[in-house]
Amino acid sequence: MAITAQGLGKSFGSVRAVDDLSFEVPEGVVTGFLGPNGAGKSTTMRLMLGLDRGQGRTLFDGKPLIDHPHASEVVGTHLDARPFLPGRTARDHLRMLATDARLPESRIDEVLAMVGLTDVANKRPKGFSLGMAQRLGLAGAVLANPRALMLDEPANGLDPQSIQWLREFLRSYAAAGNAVLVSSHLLSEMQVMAQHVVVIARGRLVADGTVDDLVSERSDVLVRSDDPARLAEALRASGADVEREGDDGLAVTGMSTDDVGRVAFGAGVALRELARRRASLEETFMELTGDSQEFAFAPGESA
Amino acid sequence: MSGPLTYEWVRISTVRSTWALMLVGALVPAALVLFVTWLVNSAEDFQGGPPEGATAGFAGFLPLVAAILCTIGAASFGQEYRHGLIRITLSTYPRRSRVFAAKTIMVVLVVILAAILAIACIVVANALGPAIAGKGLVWDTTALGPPGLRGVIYVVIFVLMAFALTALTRNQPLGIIVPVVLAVLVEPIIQTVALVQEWTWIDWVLPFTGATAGVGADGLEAWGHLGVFFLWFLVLAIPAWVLFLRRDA
Repeated sequence: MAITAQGLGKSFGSVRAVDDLSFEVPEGVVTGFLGPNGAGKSTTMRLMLGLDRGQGRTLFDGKPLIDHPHASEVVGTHLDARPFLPGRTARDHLRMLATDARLPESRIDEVLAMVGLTDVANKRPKGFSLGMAQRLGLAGAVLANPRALMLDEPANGLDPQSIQWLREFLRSYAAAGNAVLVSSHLLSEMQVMAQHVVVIARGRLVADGTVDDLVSERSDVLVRSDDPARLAEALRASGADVEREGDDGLAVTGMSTDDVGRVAFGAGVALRELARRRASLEETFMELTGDSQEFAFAPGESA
Repeated sequence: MSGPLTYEWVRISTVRSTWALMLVGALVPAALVLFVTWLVNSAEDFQGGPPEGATAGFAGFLPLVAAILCTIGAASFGQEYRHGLIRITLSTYPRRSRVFAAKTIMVVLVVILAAILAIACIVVANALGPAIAGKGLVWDTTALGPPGLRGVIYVVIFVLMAFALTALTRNQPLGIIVPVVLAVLVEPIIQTVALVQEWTWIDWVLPFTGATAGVGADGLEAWGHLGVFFLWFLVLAIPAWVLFLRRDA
C-alpha cells in the first residue's frame, strides 16, 4: 500500500512550515524522511495523518485515512517519544489501542515479546528509559499489523543492538509489501536502513528518490596521473566535469571509472590511481539542505 | 461508534485515579454526613426533628461529590493533551466527532455510577449517624425519589462542565478549578449582592446556585433549574466540540 501526499501546506502565524509538499511513500521499501531541524518533518507527518489542520491531502491506498473503516489496520504511527500515560501499564496501553481492530490479548503478548517488553508488560511505564518507551511506541504502531508505518525518530534512545534490530525489522516489514516512512537525524543509519528518501528543507521538497540515485549524483571519480593537465583536457573534451585535486589528482564527475580509464589510454597518459568515490548520504544531505537549517549553531562558536 | 466507546472504556477504567476518585467521592461526603448527624443527634440541647433522630439530607453534600468527581471529567481530555496521547487517539480514530461523543458518553456513564454510589453512601451515613448517637437507624428515603434522580443529574452536569471546559482550554487544572471556584466562591458572592439588590431572578441565571436549588425544589421548577444548568454546559460544550474539530491535535 502506497501513501501519497499531495500539496501539503501549513503555516504557523507568518511562518510557512510546510509549503506545497507532494511525494509518495512506495510500498516494499523503507522511505527515509530527512531534513534539518525545523524543516517541517514532524508537522508534515501530522498533516498526513490529519492531526494538524492545513492544506493538501494524503491518500492511503487511494483514500484519505478517515475513509478507511479501521485506521489502525491502515497505518501504525509512533510520533512522540513517550506517547503513553505514565500511570497506565504497558499492557493496558496496548489493550486500548487494540480496540479498533478488536485484537485478541494474544496479539498484545506477541508484540510485547517482539519488542522485548514482556517482563515489564504489567508495569507502569513512568520509570521506562527512553529506549523502552520507544519500544512501547513501536509495539503500539505495529499492533494491528498495519499496511503502512509512520515513525518519527524511532531510533532515538536505542542502543546499537536495538538500532540494528529496528533496521532489520523495518526492512523486513517493508519487504512484506508495506509502506514504511521513517524520519531520522541519524543519516548514517538511514543510509543502511532506507532504500528511498524524501528530503525537505524549510518545508519544501528538495529531493525525492532512491538512496542510490541521490548518492550517485554526488559521487565522482578520483584519478591521479603524471600529467594531470593533459588528462583534464582530454576528459573535458569527452564531456566530463573536471576539478583539480592536489598536485596530481583530478576529481571527475559525469563519467564512469571505465570511461575515465579509456580516455586516459586514448590520450596516452599513464595513471597512478583510478577510483570511484561514493558520497555518503550525510554529504548528499548537507549539499541538498545547505544553509537551510532553521536553528543552526553559529560558525566557530564553542563552549 | 463501538470502537471509540470501547477505547474510552479501556482508557478510563485502566487509570487508577478513576476508581480512587469514585471511592473518595463516595466516602468523604459520607464521612462528613456521618460526623454531622452523629454530632447533631448527640447534642444535649437538640430539640428538633423527629423523635427517632435527625438526618443531614443529601442534597447539601452533592457539590462536594461533584467537585471531587470533576477530575474524572477534566482528565478525559486533560490527560490526553498533557501526555500527547491525543495524537494516538486521533490516529486510531480519525473521526473526531465520534471521539468527542465517546468521551462524553463514557464520562456520563462513569459519573452516573459514581454519583449513585456517593448518594447511597450518604443515605447510609445519614442512617448510621443517629444510630451511633443511640437514636436508632433513620432512613432518609427522599434520595430514592425524584430528588435522588435530580441529584445524579446535577453531579453529571457539574462534571460535564469540567469536561467541556478542559476540552475548550486544553488545560486540566483550569477545567477542575473554574467550576469549583464558581460554585463555591463566585456565585455565593453574586447571590449576596443579588439579595441586597432584590434580584429574585438570579437563581435562574447562576448555573451552580440554580442547580443546587433545583435538586431540593419540587416539580417543574426543579427540572427548570437543571435545564438551565444543562444549557450552561452546552454553552461550553458546543464551542469545545467545534474547536476540537478544527484545532491541531
